[in-house]
Amino acid sequence: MRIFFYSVQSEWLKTKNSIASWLCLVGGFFIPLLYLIADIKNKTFINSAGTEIWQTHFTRLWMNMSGFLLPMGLILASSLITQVEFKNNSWKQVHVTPQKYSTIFFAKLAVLLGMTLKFFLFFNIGVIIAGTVPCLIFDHSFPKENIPWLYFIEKNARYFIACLPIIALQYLLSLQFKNFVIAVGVGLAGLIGTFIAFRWQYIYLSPFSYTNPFAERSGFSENILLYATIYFVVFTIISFYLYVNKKIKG
Amino acid sequence: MEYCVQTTDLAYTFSNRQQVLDNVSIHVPEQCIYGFLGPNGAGKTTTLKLILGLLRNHQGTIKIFNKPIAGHRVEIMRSVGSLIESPSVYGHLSAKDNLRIFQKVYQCPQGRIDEVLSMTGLANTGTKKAAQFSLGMKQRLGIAIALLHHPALLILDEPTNGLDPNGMVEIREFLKLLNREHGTTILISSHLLTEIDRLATHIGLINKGRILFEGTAEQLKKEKNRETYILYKTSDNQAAAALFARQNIKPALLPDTIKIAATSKENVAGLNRLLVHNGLDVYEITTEKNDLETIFMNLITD
Repeated sequence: MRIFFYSVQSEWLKTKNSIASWLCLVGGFFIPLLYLIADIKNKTFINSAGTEIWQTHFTRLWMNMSGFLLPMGLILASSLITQVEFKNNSWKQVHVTPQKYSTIFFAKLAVLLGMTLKFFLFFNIGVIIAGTVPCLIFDHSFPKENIPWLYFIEKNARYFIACLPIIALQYLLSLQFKNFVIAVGVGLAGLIGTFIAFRWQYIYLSPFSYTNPFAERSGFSENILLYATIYFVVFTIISFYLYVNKKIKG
Repeated sequence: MEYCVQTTDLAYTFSNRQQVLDNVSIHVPEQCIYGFLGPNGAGKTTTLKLILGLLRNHQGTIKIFNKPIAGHRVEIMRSVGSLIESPSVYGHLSAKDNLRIFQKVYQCPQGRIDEVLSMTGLANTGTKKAAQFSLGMKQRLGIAIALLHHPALLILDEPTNGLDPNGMVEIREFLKLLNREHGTTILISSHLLTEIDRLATHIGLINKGRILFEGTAEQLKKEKNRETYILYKTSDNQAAAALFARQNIKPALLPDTIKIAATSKENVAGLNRLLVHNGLDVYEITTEKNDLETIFMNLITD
């Protein structure tokens, strides 16, 4: 376990100044920033949202984020995490370190999940900033309602699990193909295809469907978490098998 | 004798069925500097990759520190440092951050980072990103990574690639020092004969996936000393060869020279007179060089 912890630390260091890391920061704050600008421009305030203002504010931002930007960000970030090794020709150096292949595989996956959590954190900070800053600028009263942390945590957890199939699938692809375009291309095709065919009765079979803002209102909403978890486990097992049995490791 | 690295009948075939290695057996004694020499495409990198477990599905056995790599990879790699082909450095990070990545994995003291940075002359690179380094600096950083955890065995594939002559001398002297002071076994591949000649205590010669020679540098030279030749360049080499044959000397006719087995200086002068008396102009008489370069060229063209 200690070795795994060091391995994760090592992998996390690789994200420093990386494109994936910047993507996480910019992507996390992008939608909240747009709303903040719009609210300042239109002089609208979070208090005008009626009851459950934080929930309404949070949902409207998430709706815009989860439709395309979130899965797109995940596709890019997941591919970039392994691309760092291909681009720098460093797989061979990683594979001659005293680590089991399973340690390397799961440490990278842990970093990928950590990056996703970081993105969620930035987004939530952005949500709160976008809600409160217009009140400060226009000397409007702060929302009287407390921030519903439990609601935030529950929703975040739900979206996080919905993201897992995309993360696992993109991780699988990016470990197999040196060419970054293949992993991103497959991801984009899957995402756009899911969008187009969203009304199809079997769309829940698409791993890209669970982050869709309309998924919660669809017929398969009750099973989103179950499907997402199954896909994540299946993709991870396949990915691990293919990675460990790769004939050329550098 | 204890071998640090030992391969037995190693064979490897690429997915396109092209055989790269054919029964390669090498024996790297402990605390030696083993120069793995061969022209480009001879199979050096493939051999080193197999030794490090970077390639699978080979035939034959590989033992490092007397343990088979299969099943003991993690344990073995704790004592092995390597630099294979181009250096593996993260371009978006500084030299220090690059080393930190591996320091975490090897769990060696943080102070070691500064040590290897100054050993390899990279102490003053500061926050400069590795992507902005010259090829030589990247190569040094690759060596620094390989040295980070005080490895007992260092496997270096063409480590002086991209270094200027001064850098090459520095790295060579540094490797000698490492071997002398710390007893580090070094397995170094190169196509630069002079490098190996000046550095290695033991030599393995490989060409077209086959080992042509293995032993000490002295053994190689001694063996080849028995095969010294005199080369004549004349106005008519065919006629000269016929004259030599009449003297019971077996000449070998090369494109523009005649090669005969080494003989006394009196005989060399006598043969020269013979040629001149028979109306042939003698342009050049030379003894074939017996340095490592010549030996190497002879071996790979035989």
